[in-house]
Amino acid sequence: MIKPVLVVGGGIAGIQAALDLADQGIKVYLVERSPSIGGRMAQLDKTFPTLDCAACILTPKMVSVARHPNIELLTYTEVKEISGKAGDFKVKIVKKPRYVNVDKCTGCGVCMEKCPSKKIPNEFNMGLNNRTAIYIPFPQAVPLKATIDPEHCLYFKSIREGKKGACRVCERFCPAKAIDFEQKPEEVELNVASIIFATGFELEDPRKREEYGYGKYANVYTHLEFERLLSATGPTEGEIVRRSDGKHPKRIAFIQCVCSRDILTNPYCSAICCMASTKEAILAKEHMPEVECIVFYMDLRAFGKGYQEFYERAQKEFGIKYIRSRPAKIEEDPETKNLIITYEDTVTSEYKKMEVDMVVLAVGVKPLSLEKFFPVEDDRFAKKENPFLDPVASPIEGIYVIGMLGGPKDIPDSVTEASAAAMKAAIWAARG
Amino acid sequence: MSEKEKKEEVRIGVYVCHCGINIAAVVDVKAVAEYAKTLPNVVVAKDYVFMCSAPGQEMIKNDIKEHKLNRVIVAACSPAMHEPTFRAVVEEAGLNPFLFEMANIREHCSWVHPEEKEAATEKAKDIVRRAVAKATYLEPLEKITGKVVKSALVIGGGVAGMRAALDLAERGFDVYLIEKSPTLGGNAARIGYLDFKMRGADLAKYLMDKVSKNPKIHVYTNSELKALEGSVGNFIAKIVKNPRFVTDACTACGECVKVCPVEVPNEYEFGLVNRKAIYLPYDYAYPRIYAIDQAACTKCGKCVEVCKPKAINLDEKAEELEINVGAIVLAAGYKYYEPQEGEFGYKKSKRVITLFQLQRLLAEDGPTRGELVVDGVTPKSIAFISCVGSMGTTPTAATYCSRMCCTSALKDILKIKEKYPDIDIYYIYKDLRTYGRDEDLYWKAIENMVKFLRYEETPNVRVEDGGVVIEVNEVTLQEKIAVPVDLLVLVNGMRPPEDIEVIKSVLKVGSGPDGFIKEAHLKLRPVEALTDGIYLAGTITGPKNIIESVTGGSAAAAKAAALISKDVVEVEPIVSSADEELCSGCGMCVSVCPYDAISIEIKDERRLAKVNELLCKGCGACAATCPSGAMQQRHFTDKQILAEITALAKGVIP
Amino acid sequence: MSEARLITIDRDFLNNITSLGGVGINKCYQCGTCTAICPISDTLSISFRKTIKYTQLGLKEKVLSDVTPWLCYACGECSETCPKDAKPGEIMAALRRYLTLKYDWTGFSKLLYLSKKAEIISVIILSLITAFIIYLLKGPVILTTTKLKIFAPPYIVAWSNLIVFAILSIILIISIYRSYKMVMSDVFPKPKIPLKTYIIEFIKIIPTHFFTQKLRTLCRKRESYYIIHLLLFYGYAVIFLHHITRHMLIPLIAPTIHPDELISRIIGLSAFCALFIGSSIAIYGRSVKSQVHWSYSHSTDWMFIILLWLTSITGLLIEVFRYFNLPLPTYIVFSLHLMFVVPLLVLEVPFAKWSHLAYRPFAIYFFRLKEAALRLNGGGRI
Repeated sequence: MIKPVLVVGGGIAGIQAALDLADQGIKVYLVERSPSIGGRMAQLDKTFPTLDCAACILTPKMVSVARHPNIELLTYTEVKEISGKAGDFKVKIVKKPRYVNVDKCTGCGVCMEKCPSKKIPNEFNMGLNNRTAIYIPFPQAVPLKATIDPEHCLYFKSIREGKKGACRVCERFCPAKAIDFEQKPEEVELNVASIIFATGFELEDPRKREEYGYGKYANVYTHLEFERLLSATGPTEGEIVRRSDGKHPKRIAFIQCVCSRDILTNPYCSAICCMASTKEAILAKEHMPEVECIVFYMDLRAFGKGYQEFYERAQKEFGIKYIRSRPAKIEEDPETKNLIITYEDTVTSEYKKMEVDMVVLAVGVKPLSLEKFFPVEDDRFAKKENPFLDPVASPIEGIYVIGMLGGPKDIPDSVTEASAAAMKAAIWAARG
Repeated sequence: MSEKEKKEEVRIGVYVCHCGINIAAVVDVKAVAEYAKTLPNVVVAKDYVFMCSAPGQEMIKNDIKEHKLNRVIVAACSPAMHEPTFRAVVEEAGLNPFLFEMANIREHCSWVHPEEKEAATEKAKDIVRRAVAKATYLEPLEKITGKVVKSALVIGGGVAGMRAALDLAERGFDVYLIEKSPTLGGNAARIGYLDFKMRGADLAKYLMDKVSKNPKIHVYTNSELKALEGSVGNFIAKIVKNPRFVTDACTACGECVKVCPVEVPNEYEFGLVNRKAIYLPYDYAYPRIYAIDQAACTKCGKCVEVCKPKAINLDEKAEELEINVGAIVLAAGYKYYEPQEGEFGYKKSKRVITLFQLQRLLAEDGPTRGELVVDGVTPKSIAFISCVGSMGTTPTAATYCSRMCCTSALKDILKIKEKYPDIDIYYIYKDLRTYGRDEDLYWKAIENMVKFLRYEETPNVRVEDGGVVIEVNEVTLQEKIAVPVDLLVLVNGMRPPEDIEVIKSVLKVGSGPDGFIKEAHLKLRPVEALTDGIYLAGTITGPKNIIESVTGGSAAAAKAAALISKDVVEVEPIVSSADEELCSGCGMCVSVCPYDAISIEIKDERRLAKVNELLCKGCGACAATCPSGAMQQRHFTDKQILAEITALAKGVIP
Repeated sequence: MSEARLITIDRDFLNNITSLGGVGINKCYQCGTCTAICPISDTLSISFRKTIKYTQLGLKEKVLSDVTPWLCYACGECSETCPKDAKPGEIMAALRRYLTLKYDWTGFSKLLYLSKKAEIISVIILSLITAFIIYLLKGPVILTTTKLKIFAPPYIVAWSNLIVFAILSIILIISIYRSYKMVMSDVFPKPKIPLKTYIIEFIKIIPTHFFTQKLRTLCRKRESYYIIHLLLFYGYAVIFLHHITRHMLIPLIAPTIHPDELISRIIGLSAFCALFIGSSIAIYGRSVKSQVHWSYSHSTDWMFIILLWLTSITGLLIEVFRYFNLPLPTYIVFSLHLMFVVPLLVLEVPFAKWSHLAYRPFAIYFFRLKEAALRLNGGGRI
């Protein structure tokens, strides 16, 4: 008898692991804490070095997950407790209440139009614009169902303040009558043979290096924010415009190793940022051919397949400038809101100041390790039982940790780890 | 059945979806449905808010029964989104799923013209008309199935291949593991510090031990894949077992080695020392049987005389065997870059060695038993030049980065510093790529006072007595610095394996511009080849380190397991076929097929093109090339396409 | 330079830098943040990242010809920002110590810097010699009332001052000349700098930077440190000038002039106070490491400020005991004062930390001369 497997995390790694297991005829529970699968890759505009549209190559996999008879997709769900052992884990999961009946909801979007609570920072767009309290995270969400955020919903706010339930506008206008304010969290116990964790990463807080001015100066962005600016589905519909005045920048600086390779924040290298910035610079040039893009780096980590060629193409074909330097600080011109970068060009040994319109910080990554369920190293990355004999296994037998959890890595490596973990989990599942 | 008859029988149902506000906010869906009613053969035309929803699907099923529809069109989103959904709906109502057609009026219309409502509505009508034209000429198609053999072939007995074989065997499948050389282990068995206690050899030994003990893995060393027939799920692999000239009666006593007169460079020591023509690759080789290097052997027969168990047979011939498998994992590894003679002084001085040779010198079972002795001395100063053979540093170098060398070299440096703390070490590098958590190695090297010099211009090496002098234009100082050292280590990179061309032609897989095998998609399908049923593990797709290779082995196994755990392999019937009456056997289709799915067969003394439906991917190149029109792609026949074009251009359904 | 410079690691050099406090050379990965954050970089085009690289590579000759360490005023901003915690500020301090011991032609400086024992023994020996000389040369000891001028005859004091002043100045001037030679040693070919340039730059630089520490005002942080340093400097300078004038020049050249006692006492007292306050704060700060530039203190740093403190407190006590007319305590504390002053001057001025008072302004001067030389050569960077 083949037992099911649990995959925690619905980003590209979790999706791939689930598909590989399901294709082997194994039942998979794919648990994702946000309302939709897709993860970070859904936030990207294009991927390096192929410059594929990220959503275009991701959404077919998302749809496959939704359609696959062997995958039970449990979004807006979290893992509460794990007990048991390899081959026989008992997992308590909590299905958080959406306050929307998913069987009735058609994803039509009328509720979003009507909801009066409109000032919530949109997580998908990295806070660059707002969303409503009832929302679908992005147009290609899987499942395409609305979710109510009880923290900002006016109805729930009023209940918390002890008043009678206010608003309920969405309920009135929903054509499918899908709103259900009475929903409660549902706890389910799963019995699985093996568990794969693929919970991904977040960015370090760039304010830890306050000399770069993130949060103080309007035109300093993180690279995920910049990805959203580049995206046609983003807050500015693909127009790269400055927060301060809505104008197109003429000169963009990309600063590498912000809170990476840095003893004061994170000593490790975040692996993907050199290529991400190269890609973003190229895309910026594609959007605005006249823009000048400069990348400040210490060592250019173009180590993967096609990466060195991509880096050279950025310089030769797109004229992106690379300056070997780690800038000391960024200051703002109070009138123009331009940024002035103070740095030493370590090749010419010249101390310089450069004025740019926009700064994109390549901020380091931090794994979203669920330390309750698997052990981690000092830098919070997941411990591996024996990284050489079994590169995806955590020290707990039957539990696998993939993607960014094991260390900073790009999409091809995450996807490979996902398949590898699926193989290991399948062996457990088949033992019955 | 005549065409006219066919046309009369056609009864089309058109369903225009609102998709909530996605389409309806731009396109006047009611008007489009009304327009559809005016088209020939359209019996039913409706609009609905969400066709993919349960009520929408029910509506289609009911109408098929009620109105005896035999063609269904849904004008909604992209077929990539819901074509399979509606095909399933139609099938449930008893209609062949390939009599369904989608008209994309969302991605192709409402989403791209949000401001031009009128023009978008007209365009939607055009798109529906096109769909009706095509649907008129659609034919029912049956799914194509192939048998699946529940076993796999793994080509390459290195760490990636062994890991894949073990995973598949543990999953319950029979695995045939073939390895070109006389022993399993691959490159990793001879190199690599994984951390400071575990070496590549330890990993290889562990895997070799497990492989040898697993009854489901059938190992063939000294063996190569000569030919491959069949297709996904059902391959026939023709293996040739090259003669080892030594049977398994061999006790590995080593007497033969003493008398063998021939000496050649030992590839298992990367040329540092020689071996004899009869040799055991290394102590932990599996199988632990000697082998004779056919190219070097003079057949003098001295070894035969001293072999007590009489295990040597100089007349052994190559054997051929045929294996039937469902999936193939290609894990054929890489070849290290061998610097040219004179490149950075290589071979011109005994004091210039490669990184791979250094790793053998540092190995406890190496030619110097782990003592760092080169040309008779332990060097007091060592320089490393990075990116040899990579990053375009020399005319014979590749343009890519070999990924694993920075970390590998730094691990060796730290190992040297541990044992010989007083040796001065210089790392002369183009770029430092200790990515991810390996950044730690760089920091440790700086702490150990390793001196880093960065170059952009390739350094110049001058050979002198007792060492070399490297002249490097240091980039961060803008100064030309001469570094005199006792030993120079060239950090050489990875190349595709020697027999890559043979592999490519036998397996019918292609390579990218870097020479390594091309994967189906660089980002999302890194362990699959473009040919269905063939999976790629390890460095065969490009440089990577040992851990990444082992991960790739498991990943490829997962893909292979998904295939061979099925009983049948199903292929979409949107494939090509040649009308035998029209086909002249010219063979033009064969030459343009990227999947080698077409062959010319002789039938009744006529040359006819035959399409292997399991290999065909429905790209249409053959149909477009065929001069006689014999080759047609099902579901995209010339007639269907021309009908669409006429419908769009002339506004009428032909 | 088209000829490749031969790299030879000078192991002693590297060990010296580490033992002098430059431990961060085994951390730096050459990012350039330190040079860029340094407030001095705005005014003078320097790159001390390059200096640190030379140090890491063991290129001793290049470091000896580098004047950059003297342009640093130890504000510590670089050490705070450094992503590798390489403490570039401390490396610069270590290099200053190294250059100090290298400029000295006698080799005694090297002994002091590299051996704590040698330092302590030298101080003790000099103190004892001073005590012995006082014993030999002192005048009558009058116990009924405080007569310092009798205990310490001005004539003897003046001649001792002259001898010590002359010897120390000669040693120091030779070292300054050596530093000039080293700084210019990597300019090829050697151009002929016009005399006018020498004079003009001297006038522009030496007085300003000697007396005002003008460059230090560029340091953004630690204004308090500027004030402490100013207290120390002015305390010392006033005492020095007063002493030279009153106890050396006047007795030897114009013995008829009798300067006003009260004014003299007030000048002395306030100067010693300033010195006392300054050195107390410095000792406290270095002990608790309250600021980034006090995070590491070499033994020569301690020697300097401790001797200064002892000198200043004994100086104050002389005036106190004199005021209260306590003869024996006055004579004793006066002797002690000399026993601290002599090691302070003899060890510090030519051989240890005091010398930075001279090396620094001259370094700026030589920096400008080097720029001029390079300009004459048709370009090139420092």
